[in-house]
Amino acid sequence: MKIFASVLLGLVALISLTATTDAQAYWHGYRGGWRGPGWRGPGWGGCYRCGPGWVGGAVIASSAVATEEVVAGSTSPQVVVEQAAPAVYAQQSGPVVLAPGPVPPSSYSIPPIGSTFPNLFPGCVLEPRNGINFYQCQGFRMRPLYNGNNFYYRVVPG
Amino acid sequence: MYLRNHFALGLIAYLFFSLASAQTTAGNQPEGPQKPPLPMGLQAIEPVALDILKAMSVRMSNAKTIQFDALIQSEYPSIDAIPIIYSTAAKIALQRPNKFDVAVWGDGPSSEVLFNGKQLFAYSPEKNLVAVADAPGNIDASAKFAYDKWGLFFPGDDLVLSNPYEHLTKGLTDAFLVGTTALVGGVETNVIVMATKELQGQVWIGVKDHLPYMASWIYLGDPSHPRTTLTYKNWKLDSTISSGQFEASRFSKAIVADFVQSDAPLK
Repeated sequence: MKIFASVLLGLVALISLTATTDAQAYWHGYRGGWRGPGWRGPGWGGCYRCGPGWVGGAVIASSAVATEEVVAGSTSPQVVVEQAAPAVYAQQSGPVVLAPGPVPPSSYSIPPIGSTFPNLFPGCVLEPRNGINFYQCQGFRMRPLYNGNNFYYRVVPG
Repeated sequence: MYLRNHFALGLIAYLFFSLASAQTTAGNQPEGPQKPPLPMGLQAIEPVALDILKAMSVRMSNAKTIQFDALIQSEYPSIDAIPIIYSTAAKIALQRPNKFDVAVWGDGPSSEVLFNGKQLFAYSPEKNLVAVADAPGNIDASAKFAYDKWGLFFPGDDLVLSNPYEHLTKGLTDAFLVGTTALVGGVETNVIVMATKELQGQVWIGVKDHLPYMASWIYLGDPSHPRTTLTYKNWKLDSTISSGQFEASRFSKAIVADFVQSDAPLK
């Protein structure tokens, strides 16, 4: 019983440690400038030392307009760190990535459902379903979404 | 004895995490440097500073159309904690009461945010994606709605509200006039220092035209205390804006994505 109580106490403390506060969420406010940091963060590729403010270069090689868009990127997506785009601090909004450097483009494992990427994987094809746009990739689907001043792609079930 | 040891361990863990939690919570609170008391006769918030801010606000809120360009330079630390300045540019156009268009480019993906009076559009030219949603019918409401719901905001949006003064002075703890300078914006400007518990900074406001030419803020709630500096130029007030500026037809060939809240369920 006491073991259970000790574990419970530890968990309660851990939860209180990790929970964000309203004050933390609020201070950024909703204005660029006076109430929030300028405009959202940086994002051009090649800086491996820049830290979590950095978002690597684009994977998509084409912005072609088509009902069936094939992404013909020559590099693989970056490693995902971000779980969900933060709602407030736009300077760091969007997927936060520490680019590890160039990775061979030909092979990648299926990312877990819910993971998000700033760009599509190579070879993903636009496949709308029930009026919603999805991209069918190699063994998984991605959905384009917008939050925190950035578009990103989330791996979704199906 | 075994159980007692575990209880003791649990207690130690609780105390450790509680202490860490307290420190973390304290760390989340914006903390400015300790301020010494002001000498007798000085006011933390000087009326002359408020008057200058109010004049700027009146000038902005009376304008039926506003166009300006912004350069935004934002600090963010590198992995070795060296602040790096990222630069983006923005072109802002708005027409009261219910239209705005903001294009952004520079260090990061380009984007455009358009509110045509009925719907809000966020567009990425690189990804050829557009997110579309119905929005409240005026600039203030739609800007707040977009931020609250999707974390969307844009540079200069603190200046183009119907009452910028009310917004800028909310939570104000300090405001005073430093003096004037002719070195910012190509005109003579009043330099106003402002502070709240969350941020400190300055704004440069034209002496004659009452327009803002620069603002620089330090965000105290972030442990790295990043600074963002916004430079405003090419002001055009009450000039005609082409109706095409607020038409969404230019996004018609983009792939439609969805706005989403950060905690939206997966599907």
